[in-house]
Amino acid sequence: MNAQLKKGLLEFCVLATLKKADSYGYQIIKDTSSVIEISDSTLYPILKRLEKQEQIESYQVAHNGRLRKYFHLTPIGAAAIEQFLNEWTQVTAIYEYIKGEA
Amino acid sequence: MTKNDFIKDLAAALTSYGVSDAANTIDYYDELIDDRIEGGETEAAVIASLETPHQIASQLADQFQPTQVQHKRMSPVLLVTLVVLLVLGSPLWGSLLLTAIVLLAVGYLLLWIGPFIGGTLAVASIIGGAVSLVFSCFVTLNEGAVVGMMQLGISFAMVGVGILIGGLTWYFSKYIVQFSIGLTRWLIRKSKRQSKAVA
Amino acid sequence: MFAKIRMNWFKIGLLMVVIGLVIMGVSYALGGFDSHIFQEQGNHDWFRTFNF
Repeated sequence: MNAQLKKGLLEFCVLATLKKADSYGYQIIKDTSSVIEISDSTLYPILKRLEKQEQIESYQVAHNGRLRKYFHLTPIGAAAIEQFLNEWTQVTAIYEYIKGEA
Repeated sequence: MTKNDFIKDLAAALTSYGVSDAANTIDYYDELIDDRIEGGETEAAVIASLETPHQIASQLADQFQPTQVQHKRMSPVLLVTLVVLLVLGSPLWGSLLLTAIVLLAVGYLLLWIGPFIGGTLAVASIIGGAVSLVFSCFVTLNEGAVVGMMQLGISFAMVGVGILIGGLTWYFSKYIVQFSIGLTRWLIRKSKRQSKAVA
Repeated sequence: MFAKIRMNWFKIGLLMVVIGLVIMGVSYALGGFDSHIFQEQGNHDWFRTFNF
């Protein structure tokens, strides 16, 4: 897939994963792998950016004698998903235009 | 490469690229590697599949640093007002700045006065001891063997003390040099942050 | 050789101090434990110290 397009979609994939349940880095990569591949080093900047924009928040849980960082979707993040879905009609219109059928 | 090596290299790379929250990044990779090993992969395979610490750090530096360093443009009116205020207030901040600079200079002077005294003592006692050593034979001729021997002994002890002081001074100077460099870097960083806050 | 000296500066310095102290002790003993003879009488005359 086009790198630019993928980059934009990844963020919403992560948000969508967190909408189902709180999750942590490795689990997020595994869950999204069926639709889109996120590498370890691309996920971190995304999480960092989303957390900075307060779309997600994190907390730590002890697991096997170490700490795991879980992420939780905030209302701002949920709103971002909604907005993305609402914009999709516009995206399909653009798709039709590019295809030459509009 | 083992996980420990990877984390160590990553920490070094993040520091050298000046990535702001290095600790978070390290935690993330630490957790991820552990999770993948728990998921059944071998440590070596996990590390091999990751990008190099160098690449990770440079990407993070590219993505996050520019937005943080971005300076806000000041309006010209505000700038003029600020300059006028600075000039008008110069009797106050000028003397404060001067005091700060003098205090800083005194700090560095105090830091270096120890090595300076140590070095002087070392050189003086080694040279003095050596001269005295040479002259002890003349003393022996003039004043007798007992007095000459006493001077010989004193000279030996003096050179020895000189060497000890010199060595110790050298040893401590290394730490002081490191401390000075650290202090200077800290001051520069502090002033940079300050100017950023003002801007 | 030079490197060896540099590495052992502490031992060398200490050894020289000890040798000096021993020589001073011996000299003091030879002088009959009398500090009188080591004392400079009157004004110090530098020509006596540097007597060529």
